[in-house]
Amino acid sequence: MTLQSKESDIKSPDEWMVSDELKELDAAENELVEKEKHLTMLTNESFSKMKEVSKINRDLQNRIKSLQELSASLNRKNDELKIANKELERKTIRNDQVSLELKEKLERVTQKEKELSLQRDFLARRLDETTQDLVKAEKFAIIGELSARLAHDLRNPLSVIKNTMDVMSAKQNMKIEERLQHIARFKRAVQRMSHQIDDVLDFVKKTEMVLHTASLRSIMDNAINVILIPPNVKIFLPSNDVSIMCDSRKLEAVFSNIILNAIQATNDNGEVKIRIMNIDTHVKIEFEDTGNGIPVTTIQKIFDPLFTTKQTGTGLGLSICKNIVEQHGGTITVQSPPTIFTIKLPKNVM
Amino acid sequence: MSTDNQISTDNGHLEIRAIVVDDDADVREIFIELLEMNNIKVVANGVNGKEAVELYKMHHPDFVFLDYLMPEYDGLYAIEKIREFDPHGKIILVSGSHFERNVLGDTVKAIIKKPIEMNEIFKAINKIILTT
Repeated sequence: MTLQSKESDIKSPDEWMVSDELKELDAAENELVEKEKHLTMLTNESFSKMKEVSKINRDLQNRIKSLQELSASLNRKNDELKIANKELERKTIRNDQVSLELKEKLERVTQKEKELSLQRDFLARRLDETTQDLVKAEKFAIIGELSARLAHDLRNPLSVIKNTMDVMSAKQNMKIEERLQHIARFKRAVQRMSHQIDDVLDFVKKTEMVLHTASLRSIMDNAINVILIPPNVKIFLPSNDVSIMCDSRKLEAVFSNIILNAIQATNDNGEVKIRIMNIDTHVKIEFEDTGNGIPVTTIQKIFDPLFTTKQTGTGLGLSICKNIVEQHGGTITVQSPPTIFTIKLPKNVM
Repeated sequence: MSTDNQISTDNGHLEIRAIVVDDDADVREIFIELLEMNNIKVVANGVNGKEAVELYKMHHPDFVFLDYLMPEYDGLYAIEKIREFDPHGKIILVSGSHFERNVLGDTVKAIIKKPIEMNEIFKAINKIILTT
């Protein structure tokens, strides 16, 4: 520069011209450098932009690719769906056919069901009728047997009455003692006839129950009061008591019947023990006697109507007892020896 | 079982000797009284079929008046046992029902139905005497 300065000192007009041109050149050169710099900058900029763009491009390409894949898979899916749809349509058609067949079959089944139900009703009616017929036949058989037995049993006291009358009319002048003897026979005959008729009527007509709460002990006491207890028979009554819902008059008849049987079983010499057991919703009453016990063949038929081992029995006593206990929703059973009659009753009869 | 120990002093032409078997005391007693009033001598009486057989063996009566339904040993038992040793035993069944007729057939000479009618008894006795 120093050289240049020196040279400038000696400048000619030409030199001045040159110098101007140089200046211009310099300026141009500077400008050029500037521009180059700018260009480099721009180049750099554009390069980085290019890089960016290419990255975006790559991304886009990736996206396009994945979209293409998606599209392809969607197409595949679509195809599958189409196939499935077609299949479905076929199936729907088939289903419609099947459904139609089912409907027809259902109708047929319903029809059959109706027929069966009619048949069932008819059979049920037939069964009812047959059962009723059987029950009627059974009842008639029992009534037939009952009336035959009643007729037979009435003939004995009738014979007594008739023959006593024959004797009395033949012997007009009879001593008073003899007359009283005959009158006693009349009385016994009439009593026996009424007793037999009462028993049969009790058996035949099942009266409605009159329910109320009653103490079993008081019913037992009433039952025993009507029985003539032989001097050598001891009755042991329970020390406890339970009150239950029942028809006390009917139960009284049951108790006196069983106690009377028990006394007879001891041959008027022995003991009868009565127990009351409180079991939850039920009550158990046991009658035990010291008699010889009941033979196995007898025990099986003991509750059957008309079954008797006694000379003057109607065979209805225990059968009536069973009816009454069952009317109360209870059970009556017997075991022997020792003979124990067990009555189980609900405290609240339904 | 009771037996009348009085030995008959009758010559035997008119008096009929009989035994009565019935488990019912009133029926038995008044029937005996009626028979005796009508000149039929009741030599013994019993309460069941077994006693009937024993009394028959003991007394060989002209007639047996036998009840059918009796406890333990019934009329049928007596009929069968008596026929074993006396097939012509004159047994008159005195009963309360009809069914014996079917059971017994001609094993007894007559069946009299209760209530007992003396006329029927005499009819039966006369018929039996005439046919034997």
